[in-house]
Amino acid sequence: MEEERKSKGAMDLEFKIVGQDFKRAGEASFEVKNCLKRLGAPPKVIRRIATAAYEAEVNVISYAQSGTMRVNIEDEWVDVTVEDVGPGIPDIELAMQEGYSTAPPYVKEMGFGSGMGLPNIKRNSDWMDLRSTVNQGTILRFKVNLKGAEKGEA
Amino acid sequence: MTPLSQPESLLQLRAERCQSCTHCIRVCPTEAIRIRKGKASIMGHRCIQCGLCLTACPHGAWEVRSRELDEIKKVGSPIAFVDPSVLWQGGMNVSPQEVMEGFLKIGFQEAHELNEALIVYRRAIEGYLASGEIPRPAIGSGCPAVIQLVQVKYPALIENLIPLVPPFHIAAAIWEASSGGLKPDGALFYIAPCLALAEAVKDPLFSHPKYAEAINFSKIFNGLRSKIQSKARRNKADSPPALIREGMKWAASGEWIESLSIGKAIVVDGIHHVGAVLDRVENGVLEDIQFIDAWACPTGCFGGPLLIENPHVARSLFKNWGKIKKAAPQAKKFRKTANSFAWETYRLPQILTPRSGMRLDENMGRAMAKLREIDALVKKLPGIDCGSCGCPNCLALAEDIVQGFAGEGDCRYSQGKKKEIAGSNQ
Repeated sequence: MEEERKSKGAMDLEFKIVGQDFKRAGEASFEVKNCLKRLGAPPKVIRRIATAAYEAEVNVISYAQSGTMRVNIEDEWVDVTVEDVGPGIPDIELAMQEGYSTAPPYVKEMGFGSGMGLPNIKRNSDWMDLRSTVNQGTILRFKVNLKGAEKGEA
Repeated sequence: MTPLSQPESLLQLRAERCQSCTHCIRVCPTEAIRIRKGKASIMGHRCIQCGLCLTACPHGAWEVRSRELDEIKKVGSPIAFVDPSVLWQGGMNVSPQEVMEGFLKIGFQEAHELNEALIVYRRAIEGYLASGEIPRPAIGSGCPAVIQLVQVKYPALIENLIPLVPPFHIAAAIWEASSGGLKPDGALFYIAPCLALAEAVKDPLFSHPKYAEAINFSKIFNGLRSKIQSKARRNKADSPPALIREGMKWAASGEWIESLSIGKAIVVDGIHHVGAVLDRVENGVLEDIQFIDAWACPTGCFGGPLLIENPHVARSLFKNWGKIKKAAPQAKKFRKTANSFAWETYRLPQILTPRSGMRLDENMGRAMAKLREIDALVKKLPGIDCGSCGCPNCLALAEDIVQGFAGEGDCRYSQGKKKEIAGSNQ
């Protein structure tokens, strides 16, 4: 079945993300972008996925102990799942509000944790799902359509 | 999105000098070079003309084609437009004024700096940023290699590029309007510090139609130096070429935007650093920055691969140049001339388009199949990125094999070879 899926043109990527490793922030999203450029994805779609994937990657680095980013490209959809082991999010609705942040000062000093990450992911994706268990971790999943109409950026 | 048909490149390999070492293939920011049959060759659809290969080659095998001084003299009235970076070159040890006069001594009828053009150009940058037309951060388009880096690797950022023709174009336009135009036997030449600008002079998208071509500065350096140092005088009737500091600042990254009212800016030079900054822009994290002043060469055009002096030395010579005040009355005149030219005139005549250099296939399904093949193949290669196969790294070899550009036996490491043959049996 896996072979059949692949012959239809599916692609899986997986990246490990290490908590607090700010030096390497952006490496996973860089690889995702690179792959999409190889495939010839439309530039605007690449940018949306890049923005969302980067925010998701930085979230894991800023808050969690470790995480994994899995990217699946299939049937014109880029499906990204970021799963982490960490403190979790007690109030998801609050976390989705622009400007809400629980980032410690040192994270903010590095230019991260402005409280725009999750809203930014939502804005740049066509579908998003966020689940979290406090003291266990968070699973973020979002999808972007490779050929879909431009989602309003405003 | 097939690669544009490219006219013959100015960048050429002197095959007899190429030792098939791996210096150039490793530094190329778009992995555009391969060693094939013992000689380096360029994949034109990927080359962004940054010229890193020229600088990296220890054998001087890469060269930028250009006329020699003798040939230029055969043109009836050659007129030089001089890139400001060439005014501070090694061994000359003279003032920039004397260098400009040197161009007259070696046979040019006139020699011009970017003076008014840069004033207009700076106003255009302010104008575009005030217009709200360009998404932030706006990216400076003064360096043609940066433009091409965006086209090849960061196509989503094309709309961030300021759509302006380069200052050498504006300089020629102002000259044409103020001088009454070119004599029938005349021709304009741009004295270029780098491959990218020399190519831009050939490109109708960027260039002014009156330019004949660019001149590789390193080819005329010796002739210029000997004439400057000899006591030859220029014809007294000629008016001396004029210089203002404002025009010369163009050669140094960042300096020419000082005092512009454009808000927060990032100054970045060196093509790999430029790539790293553009990567962040693509991630949407630098949106509070108004302007990115980006240059392929370290320190800006002083780092041009066709120049002689160390870029940091040249930049310091420029910064220490003390005769600025004398130029003040001229500066006033230049400003007045510049103000009579509307910057809006100098918009690029066409919208820039992405280049397909990084794309594996026109069909996304096929591209995906190739990507998977590459992924499987690269795991079987030794992963030491030795370059012996003629590719910059193992991943590039895997890609070339899948694209049919490389053979299965190209990996020299038997371990890798054995596994690779096993893996590419499809």
